[in-house]
Amino acid sequence: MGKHKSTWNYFLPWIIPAVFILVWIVLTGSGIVPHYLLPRPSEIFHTGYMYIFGQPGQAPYAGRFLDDTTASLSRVFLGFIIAALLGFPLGIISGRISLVNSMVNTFINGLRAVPGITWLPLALVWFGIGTKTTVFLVALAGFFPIYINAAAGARLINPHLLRAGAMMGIGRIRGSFSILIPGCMPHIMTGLRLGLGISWAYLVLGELTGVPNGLGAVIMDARMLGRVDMIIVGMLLIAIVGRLSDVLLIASLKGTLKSARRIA
Amino acid sequence: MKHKDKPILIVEDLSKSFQVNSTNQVVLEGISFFAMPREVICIVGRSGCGKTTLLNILAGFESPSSGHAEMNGETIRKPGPDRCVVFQEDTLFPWLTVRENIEFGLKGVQKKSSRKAELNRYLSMVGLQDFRDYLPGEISGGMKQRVALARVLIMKPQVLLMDEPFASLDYHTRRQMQELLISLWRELEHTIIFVTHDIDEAIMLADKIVVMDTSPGSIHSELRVPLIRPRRADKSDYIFFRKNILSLYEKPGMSPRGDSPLGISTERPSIHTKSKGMVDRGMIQLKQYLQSIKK
Repeated sequence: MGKHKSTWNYFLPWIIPAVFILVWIVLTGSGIVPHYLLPRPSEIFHTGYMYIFGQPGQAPYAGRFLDDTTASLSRVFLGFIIAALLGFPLGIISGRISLVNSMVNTFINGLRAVPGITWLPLALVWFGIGTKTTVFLVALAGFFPIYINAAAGARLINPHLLRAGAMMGIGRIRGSFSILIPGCMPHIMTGLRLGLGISWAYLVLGELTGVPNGLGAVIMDARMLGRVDMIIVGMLLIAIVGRLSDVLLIASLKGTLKSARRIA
Repeated sequence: MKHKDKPILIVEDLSKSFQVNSTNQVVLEGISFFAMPREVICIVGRSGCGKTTLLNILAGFESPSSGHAEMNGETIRKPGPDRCVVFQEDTLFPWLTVRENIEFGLKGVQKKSSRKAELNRYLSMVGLQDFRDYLPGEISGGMKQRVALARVLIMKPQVLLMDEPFASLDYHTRRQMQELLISLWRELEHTIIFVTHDIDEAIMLADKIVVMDTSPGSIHSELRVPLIRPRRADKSDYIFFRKNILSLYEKPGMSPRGDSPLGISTERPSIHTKSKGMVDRGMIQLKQYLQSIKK
């Protein structure tokens, strides 16, 4: 009975995508949806296959996958690291010290209200076309969820945990690393995961500006050539690579931190 | 070194008030009492009488508005391992195992090898050797409080402050924890300040009971508990003492200098009164009465 249940659970997440693809096949195969709007799944598969495994020159986007993915990953990674290095400590301090919170909270939340896309022209003026603009946008977007969740975690931690540390004679600095941060880990992890997720969204925005490579760049390039199949391939690959980066983030946190492994 | 004829803890005319919505709320007023080394003192009172605030001040988490509390002659200003607290709620670190929680305070203070020996000793004292690798989320409430006890006792505090630590436990577990507390106290010889709203628990544990009044929190009376350990709720001396203290406890308006029906003194002792040679009129009367009913 237990074995049967676990097998069923394994297939559960794939039911809706399977139904979705089935409907897609029916709609495109029967001609209900015109080809120029939505290519057939078989065409998507072929374009994707060539994109990933093909040799350059065999087809318009053949063999570019590795180059584009590496470029995108490095931009997301860099932007995310900057967002985390700024957002996480500021969030923790802001959550614990009300003076800091009073000073920065209004400014940060005001900044957060400005949509990312409105930063694009300013970023182009400051950094020009290229990786710097993309990294700037990714870092900007990722900063807010990381900061807000770290601050919330630090504010909401059970005060008795900190008092327990104080009565054991543990100082503020050691207490921050051995009690405060582990105690906030569920919030911290949520913030980091949201930050990474939104980083991917802003990556595409950043790569609109005309960078030579990247998953977002290839989507915009395909749009100009009317290659809907390549657009969909790009979107699917961003979804997969984005999800894999999330899995990697969780695994690296759980692999290195007890609190991430045990309570987050 | 313990000075057996000097109080270890002195609270002198302590008051505490908080600013709540621009009004001054007096939580504690004129609190004075003392604790001798190795004494078990229970502070009892209704909810809202400021027991927890008093304990927080003794722990060093808060400072008094006036008056002071001192330990071994030094004013209490901040928390420290000489005065450890066991709280009511679960305050174990949820990401650490039982073992890691207990040895947490010793990290950086002791070498790993000596820490291991201490850890094993306190694990077996509280009977949790088989649960050393469990997380707090995987053990019962009673077991969590045993871990909380071991976690503070391993620091070898001179004073153990306890804020209704067994309140959320069922009756049987509570009785087990009370017995464990007393057996540990016999072995480790620390002073215990135990806050509770449960008068039976106070009678079961205390050498001295401090009864607090509410609004603002102040000391109503102090009573010595002359019952010999082990104490049992079905013994006649226990029943007698309980009846007497309840009549006192349930009359908050009674003058602090008024005597109970059996003449047990309810005078507030001065902090300058030496315990050595102190004559407790009430205690003598109680003993005489007990002897008379045994015949």
